[in-house]
Amino acid sequence: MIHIHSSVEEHVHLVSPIHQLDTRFKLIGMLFLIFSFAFISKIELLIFSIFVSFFILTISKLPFRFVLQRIKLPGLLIFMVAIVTLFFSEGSAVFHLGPLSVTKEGIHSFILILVRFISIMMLMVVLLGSTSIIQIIKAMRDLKLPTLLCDMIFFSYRYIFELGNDLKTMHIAMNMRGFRSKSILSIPTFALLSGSLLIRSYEQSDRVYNAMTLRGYGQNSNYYKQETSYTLVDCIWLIILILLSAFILCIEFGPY
Amino acid sequence: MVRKVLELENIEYSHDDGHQIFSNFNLTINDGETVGIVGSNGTGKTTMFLLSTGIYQPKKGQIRLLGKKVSPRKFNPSIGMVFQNQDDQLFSPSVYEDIAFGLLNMGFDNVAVEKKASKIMDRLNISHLKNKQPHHLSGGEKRLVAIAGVLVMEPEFIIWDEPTSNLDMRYRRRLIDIIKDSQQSAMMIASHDLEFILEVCNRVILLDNGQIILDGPPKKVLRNELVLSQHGIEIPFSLKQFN
Amino acid sequence: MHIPEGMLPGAVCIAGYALTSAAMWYSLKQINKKEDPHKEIPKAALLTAAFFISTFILIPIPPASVHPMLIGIIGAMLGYFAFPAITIALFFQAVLFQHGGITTLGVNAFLFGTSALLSYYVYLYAARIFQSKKYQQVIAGFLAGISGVAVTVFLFYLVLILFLPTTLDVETEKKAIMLLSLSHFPIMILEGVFSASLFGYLSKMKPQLIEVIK
Repeated sequence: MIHIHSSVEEHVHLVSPIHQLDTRFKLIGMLFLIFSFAFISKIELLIFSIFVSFFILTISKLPFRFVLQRIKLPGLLIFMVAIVTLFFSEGSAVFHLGPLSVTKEGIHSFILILVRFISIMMLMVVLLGSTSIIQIIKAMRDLKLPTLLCDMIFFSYRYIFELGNDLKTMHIAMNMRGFRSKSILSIPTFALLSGSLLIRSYEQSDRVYNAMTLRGYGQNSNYYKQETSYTLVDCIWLIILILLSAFILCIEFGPY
Repeated sequence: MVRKVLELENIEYSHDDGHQIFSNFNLTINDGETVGIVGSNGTGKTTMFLLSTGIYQPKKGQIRLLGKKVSPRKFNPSIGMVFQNQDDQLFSPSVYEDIAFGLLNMGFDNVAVEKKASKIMDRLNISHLKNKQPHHLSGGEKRLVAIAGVLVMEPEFIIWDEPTSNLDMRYRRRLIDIIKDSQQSAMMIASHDLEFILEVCNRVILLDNGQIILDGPPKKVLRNELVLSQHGIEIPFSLKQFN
Repeated sequence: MHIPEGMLPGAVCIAGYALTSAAMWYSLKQINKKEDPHKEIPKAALLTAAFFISTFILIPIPPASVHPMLIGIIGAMLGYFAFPAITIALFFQAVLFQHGGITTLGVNAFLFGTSALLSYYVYLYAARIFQSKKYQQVIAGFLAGISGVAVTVFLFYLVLILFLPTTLDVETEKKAIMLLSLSHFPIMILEGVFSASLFGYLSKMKPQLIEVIK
């Protein structure tokens, strides 16, 4: 499963204003913007949000194909939900398609769900496509996320790959010994295999933990004190992103 | 009066499943000793190591390192351990960060860490691996990175658990040179590679079932074909000619 | 089960995050009461990874293929660590695969996490009832597995009913969601059987992995 790692982080080393932005500021600013998008229900704001997303995507220099690839699957799911709201919403019918009727409210809902999704996803892909997971974890740690959580995130990240590899190996081994899942009776076999995999991984995790303890893990918070400095440009970006979010929320909830 | 580096006194220890490993076990390692621990698998070597570092706690008995009682799981950079499986020991995103891990926990600032880490990487000839991901390295390279991470903390006492296992000849030779060159006060090395033990150790202990069967100079212990074979060990080839 | 990006109104997303933060704070508080909370991190991280990977696993049980949920198992094995573990797994799923959104992470985490904690209580209670019986772990595991699926489905059903686009024709919506929920009934049984076998195996081979009741 190492391929997960490489495909997600394919473009984290590009050079762009977004890539250069300090991760902490990037996280906060982008998340503010993304959340403000989640509140949008007015069509004018939808259009505005799509433009903003496109603009940010462009300056990030991430390939459009990459973004498309990441949006494909969740997009399909959302599209299905949107289609449902198109045909099954209550309200005044605009036209009929056989036994189904399309209402004005349905059209509004359909466009809202789809466009909102696309705007949010584009920002999301820019955020995640321009930052490596390690940078994200470090930024969260610097932003004072509880150390217990930071440690769990760090360990889990490592185990995702190890477990993934172990599972693949086990799957191959199973097939080579002719195991074919035939019915509910094969469940105990799966449980046995999962159990042994869990035990082996657990024992290894214990050893890793021991090795880490011997080198000082958990005893000293020095490891977490690595502060990095930020620039004026970082601050400016953060302010711009927050102002954009505030603007959107004001228009959305304002008297206009 | 020779300084005692490690003292295991009247140790009694059993695993969680009730299996008793040590009963009234005693061992002292002195300054200047490089002790080889030999024995077949499952005789208690790793358990003894983990007891010495404070990871495991004995049910009875005392463990002292450099005269001070060993506290359970407390960080003590005076003792370092190179684990049998280097994958258990490497966990940082880059080689440099892995080596720096221990130093940062010891309280050194970034400048000092950079200096010490660079020095150890030069010494072990792994500077070119600095920014690589540890899990993508070869077995031998991983072993060197793991060793660097321990040596950089400059412990007085180092435990090596099967250090030459899975190493090709080149890396094995490099390892031997590193061990011979080290400045540590004392070392304890577990290995099945008896030629290796012969070359680097000045004292050898045969361990079986949690008991010390033989304890003495390498050439004497490892030439004792009778006793060794009773405990599942074959004497090293180079000594066979002399018997 | 994961609610994708943009499906829920902004206010609900924020509420989800608020609830998750509160539950997280509470879980961490309970965890820090232990004598060595750091010691259980490797086990928690391992199960976090397991939950993450479970999305990729499709077990063929003719005539269909099933996706293990593992909520009950994780709850029973981790106790309070289950909440951060599941939240982190969902975070990685959203970040690495866009499976479940970041805006909806709060809601997803709260639903799955609470379900896991409830399964933990079910497990504890069941284990206490069958205290000195030979099949204590098997039964407690079975019940935890079932409750994991049941509570999760119920909570998601609730959220979808309450917060999906309000323009939808309520009757159709309710029917559709109820149908989806009922289709999880066989999964509930399968998961129960799986948990029971797993706990039976682990209690014999490696009891330290389970929060065994004295």
